[in-house]
Amino acid sequence: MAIVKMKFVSATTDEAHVNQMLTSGVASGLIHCEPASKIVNEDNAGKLISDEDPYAGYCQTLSNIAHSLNYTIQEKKTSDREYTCQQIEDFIVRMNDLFGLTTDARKVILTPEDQKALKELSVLGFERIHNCQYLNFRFGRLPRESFEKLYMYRDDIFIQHRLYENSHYIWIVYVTSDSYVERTNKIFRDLAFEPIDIPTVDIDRELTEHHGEIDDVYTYCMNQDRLCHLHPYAAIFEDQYVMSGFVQEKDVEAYRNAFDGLPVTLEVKDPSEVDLECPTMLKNNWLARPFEMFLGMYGVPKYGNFDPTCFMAVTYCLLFGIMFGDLGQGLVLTILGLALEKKGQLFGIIGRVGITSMIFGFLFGSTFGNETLLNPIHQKLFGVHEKLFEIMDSSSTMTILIGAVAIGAVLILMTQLLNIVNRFRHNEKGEAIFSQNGIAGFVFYGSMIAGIVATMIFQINVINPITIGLCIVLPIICFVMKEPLTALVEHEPVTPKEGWGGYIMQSIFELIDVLLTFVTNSMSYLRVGGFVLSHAGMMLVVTTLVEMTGNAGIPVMIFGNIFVMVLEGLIVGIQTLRLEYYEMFSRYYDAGGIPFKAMTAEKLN
Amino acid sequence: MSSDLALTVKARAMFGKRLKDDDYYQLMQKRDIGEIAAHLKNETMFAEVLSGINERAIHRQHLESLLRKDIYIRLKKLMRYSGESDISFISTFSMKSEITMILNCVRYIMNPDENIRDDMIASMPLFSAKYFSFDVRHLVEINDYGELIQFLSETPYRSILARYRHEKIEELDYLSLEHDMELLIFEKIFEAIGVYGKSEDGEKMRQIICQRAELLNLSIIYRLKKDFSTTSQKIEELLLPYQMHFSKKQLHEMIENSTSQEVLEAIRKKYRGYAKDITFTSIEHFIQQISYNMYHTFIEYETEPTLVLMSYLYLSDMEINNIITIIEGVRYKVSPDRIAGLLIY
Repeated sequence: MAIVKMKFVSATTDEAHVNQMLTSGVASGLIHCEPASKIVNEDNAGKLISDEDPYAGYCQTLSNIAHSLNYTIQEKKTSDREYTCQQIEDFIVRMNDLFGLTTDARKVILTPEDQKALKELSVLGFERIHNCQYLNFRFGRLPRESFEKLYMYRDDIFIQHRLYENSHYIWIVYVTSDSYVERTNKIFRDLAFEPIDIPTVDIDRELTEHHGEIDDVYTYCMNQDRLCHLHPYAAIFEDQYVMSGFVQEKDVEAYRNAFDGLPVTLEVKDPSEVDLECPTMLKNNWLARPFEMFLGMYGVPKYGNFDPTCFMAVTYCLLFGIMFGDLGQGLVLTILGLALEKKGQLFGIIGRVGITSMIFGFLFGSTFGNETLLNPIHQKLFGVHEKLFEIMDSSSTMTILIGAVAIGAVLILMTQLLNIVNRFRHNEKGEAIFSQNGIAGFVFYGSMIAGIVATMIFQINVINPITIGLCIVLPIICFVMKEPLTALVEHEPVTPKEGWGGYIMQSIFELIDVLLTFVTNSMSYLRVGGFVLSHAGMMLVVTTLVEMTGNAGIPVMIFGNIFVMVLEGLIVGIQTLRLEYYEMFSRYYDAGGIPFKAMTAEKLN
Repeated sequence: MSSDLALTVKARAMFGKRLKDDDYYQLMQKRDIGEIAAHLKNETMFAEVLSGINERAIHRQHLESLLRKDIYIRLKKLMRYSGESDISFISTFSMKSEITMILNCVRYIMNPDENIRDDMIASMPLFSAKYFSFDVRHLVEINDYGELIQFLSETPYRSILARYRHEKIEELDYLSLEHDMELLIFEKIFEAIGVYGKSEDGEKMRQIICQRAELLNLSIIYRLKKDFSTTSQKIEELLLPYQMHFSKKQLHEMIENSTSQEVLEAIRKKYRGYAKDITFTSIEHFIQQISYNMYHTFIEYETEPTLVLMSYLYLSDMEINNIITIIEGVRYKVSPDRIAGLLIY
């Protein structure tokens, strides 16, 4: 329920150790690196490392060669040796020549089946085939129908061997002597033989010999490429290379230890001492942790600000539970969510909202749509005639809707209080006192709600000139005069920039908007009551269908419950999120922070 | 006769998927056989027969063979809707291939050169062998004319071959043998049509076959008059004994007195319904185009299933010939304009 304390760290070393420093720093997985371009400026006369990265291209070329050879490169942790760019380029040329790779687009690319047939042929040895002086070998595809005809030729002027076949073709190699080569070739040509060049080298054998070298060069290139990607994080100050960023306060020593054995000096500062925005890392308890996902979608708070995750978690669970109140379905959500929590934060949220669904489901007496199953327990526990609360009873409708608005009013007042506390913490007195979400707004909205409750429920008339003056008129004056009053308490010039006439006119229009917003925000919570009724209504449909379908009742009940859980679970989840974002966050929460992302070698890839 | 009209509907539906102007235009723009094969495989109804080929390396002959095989695939699809009497008619369709193979064998017997034999094997359509009235594979084993007659003793070809048996094989009248074989196809077709009796459909089919034979006769007269100084008697011997629009007397007078140009004008006049918009490039193309127009009309307007089936098979054959013409044209770098002039559609 807090934001983790951070420290700004700068590691410094000489040119000879910069790559090691960058690698070790990133490998620690503790630092949120700041690009050197944010560190250097005209005042500190820092420079950036400017070098080209040819290694990405080399890696791509080596991958293409491997792909052409149907080989998967095995990248190692480190290469056995170092290579210059010239050596790498020479190696690529050598591999292209060795395997006869070409960029000629007209050249027919061998299909996987051609390669299988070629593999069979390789048993003979390609060099040996090419070295034959008096025998002629030809390899290729023959249509199946033509293969049948081979046996019709009476003369033994050639021999053929079947290598591979599919439903259309048979891959063969045929051998003939110099004397018959012309006629044999004509026969095969007439039989629609599709020749394939016999390679001069055995690719598999050559690959066995050279794959280690390919892997090593590729590994070296990949490592160099990664280093080139790290260079933008190192700034140069007078022959010294500096890598800067933020680490968690508790990890500073571990980060320092990452450079053990290297001539690296580490400077640690408080984030407030540097002119960079500190990233935010949230730390929450078991209940609230998954809701960090929803907060991240809206935007994390700035470092040092209030973390609303916990408040959001409680209110989200509460509202979802009310709208999706069913003991059985809540239990399913809880089991599913908690079981799959490791698969994603969304499942964690589902698991938690399932708990409140169960609680409200129990209070509403609803289990998988069955509205009577819990009646005996209710009667025993609460001493009621049937059940604690009959949602589908027509007399309950108004209670549910008024209750929903009441919950909304309480939440609005709570968010206003949170805003007041936050504003005072940040010394924004004007906003804390005079704004619609400050003390003025709290007094105005709170007194309106209190007035309605006192008059309508307790029959107490609280409307008199004093209460109207203090609780209605005074806050409205605060809303209208917010800017001059804020300037007054902050000891700044009171006269508005646009002049008094323009300011008053603008403020009056804004006042109308503020007053309307109080009404619409309160009405917005009616959806909570609406979904209580909607959920109960949908389950009534399911139970009616179960009764109508007789023997097929159990499957209908299962599918009906799944349908309602998926459909309504999704809708209620979205509506609750909408209430959080629009009705609550808009009153007390400003995002705008940068999420803390520790750099790792994997992320660089 | 087919049991119902399903065959007509199916044949028309299949004809609707034929290659159109745009397909031919695109095929003629291709640079090599691989591109043609790829287009046919991916964009046309030849996809089924060409599935599994490596279009980038396909051999021309293999492609042509597969295209020819496609007509048997189409036939097989239509056979599901055909009746008993259609079978005898369909069998006449494979007679052309049977006769080609028999004549190849005769040529080899007359001139036992290994190259002729190699060509015979290479051109043997094994994919359609199951529709043949004899085992075509056995022909390559035959070295003697008597042996050939013996081998074909159960087929209608035996009597024709026996008629031309000669002590000295090199003196065999090959041209007349070929002519009699051609005649046999027509005889068998008329035999198949015979089941329709004197009905209107039967009469219509007889007229259509007669028209086809007459067109063949007219092309022979034109070609022999224009390019050869063949005697009138020899020309008359080579003609098929069927007439439609020209009487025997008119044909006789044409052979005796007309020039090749007058023969052409006479064809245009008698077949004006089918020949009016045809640009003359060669007599073979001209006659084929008239036949195409005839069959196109039949497949669109006729209701007799066997007639529609017959029309569809001939039109399909012409379509495949068009593709083979394009393949040859592209292979020898002939301009698309010139190739277009040779196509029949």
